[in-house]
Amino acid sequence: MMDQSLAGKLAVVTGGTRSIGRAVVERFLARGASVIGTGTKPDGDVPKGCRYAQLQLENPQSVESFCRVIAGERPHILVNNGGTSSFATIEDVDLADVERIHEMHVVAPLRLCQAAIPGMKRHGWGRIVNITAISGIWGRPTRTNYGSAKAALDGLTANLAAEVGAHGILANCVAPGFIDTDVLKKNYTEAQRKAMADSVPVKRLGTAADIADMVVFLAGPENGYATAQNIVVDGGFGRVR
Amino acid sequence: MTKSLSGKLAIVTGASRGIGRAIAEQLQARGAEVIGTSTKPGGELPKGCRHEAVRLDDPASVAAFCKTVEKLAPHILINNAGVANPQTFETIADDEFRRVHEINLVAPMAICRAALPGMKRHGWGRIVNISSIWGPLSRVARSTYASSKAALDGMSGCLAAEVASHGVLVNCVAPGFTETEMIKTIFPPDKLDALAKSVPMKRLAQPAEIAKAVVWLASAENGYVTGQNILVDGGLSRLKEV
Repeated sequence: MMDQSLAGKLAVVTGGTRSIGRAVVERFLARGASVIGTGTKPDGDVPKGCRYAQLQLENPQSVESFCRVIAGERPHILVNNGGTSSFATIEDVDLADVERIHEMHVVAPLRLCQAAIPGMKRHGWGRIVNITAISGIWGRPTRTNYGSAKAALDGLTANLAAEVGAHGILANCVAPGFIDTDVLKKNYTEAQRKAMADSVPVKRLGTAADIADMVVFLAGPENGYATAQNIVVDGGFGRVR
Repeated sequence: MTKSLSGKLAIVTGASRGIGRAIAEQLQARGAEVIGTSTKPGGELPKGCRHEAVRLDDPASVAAFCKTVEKLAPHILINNAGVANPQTFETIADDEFRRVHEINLVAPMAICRAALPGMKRHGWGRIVNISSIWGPLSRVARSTYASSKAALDGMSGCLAAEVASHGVLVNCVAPGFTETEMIKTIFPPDKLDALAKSVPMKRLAQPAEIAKAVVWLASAENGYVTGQNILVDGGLSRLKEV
């Protein structure tokens, strides 16, 4: 008998069409939740049973119209997962791209949280999980823009958690390490991916499922007291030198 | 409740009460066979839980228990038992400092070491060591306890790096203020109320809430989290009000 611990709950997952977001959507559905998954295109492929909504996180108008959906639907669970990365050395970081990346990873999640919190307060129960990145904690070349956005999302989450904890709303981040996604396959050669995997104590890249399982724990009733944390799911990578 | 731990053997130290008892109960509910320890022979454990008496402050008792652990080859080890004895720095006696570290650090190290050959043989293992917010955070009169718990985290981080490739994941869970017998020996009731109000969630944790995070890390659902010290503290560690 599959665990139906999320029956009666509505979850919103941004970037629900593939990789980590898709794996989160699948798990929420399997546990009995209703799910709205977003993607950037007018029509998107989400798991069966999931409602689809278009959302372009870098576009404030698109975010505002989706916030109205959230305010009306009053989800119990919000997972801010969507967004793209952008890599450039500091001399080549383009200001327009800084605005785009921070709009996507900081401003849009803040707006979505704002839209969701009145409903969660009414329910007296809410779970927010924001997907950060190890780049927000540990530095490596070309990540100034992306890493600063993800660090900001963590700071946002810690301060949000302090405000809403008394209403039964828990807000956390999950920071994935190297995850074997389409994006990773596109950006790195097989040899590079092998070298990445070897640099991780568990000797493999992470999977979307690895991250999604952590997200689902933090987003469900099993989590009663973890809030304001940024939980690293990286196979031990970040801690070892 | 999913029976995702059926066929797994788990050892939980300090399983007669508080967080350890909740961990033992939840591991059992998921189908694991659980061996719980307490200091007294025939200690009060959850129903169905096998008992082993071990005194963590007694190296001979720990050594005997380690032989048992090695033989049993558990898949899951939870080093939960520990002691706190708040004293201001200048009043700490060397022997008391040593005793607390013997219980909170040296014994867990020995028990981990005894469990590893079996976990490597299984190609699968989960170790969760119960650390504390006193490590990342501080407070007067916590130097002995905080030192032992911070060291436990340091040890776990390194152990994680050494055994990860064998499918053994090692993490700590750092509970915040939790409603246990231990905390009641440290704070009077009015002080406990004030502590609860200082937490973003405005309440203490229940032992079962800490246990759920521990059991998640100890289960197959955890596939890629290792070397972490996960704070389950109602947001306390990240709130800093003037």
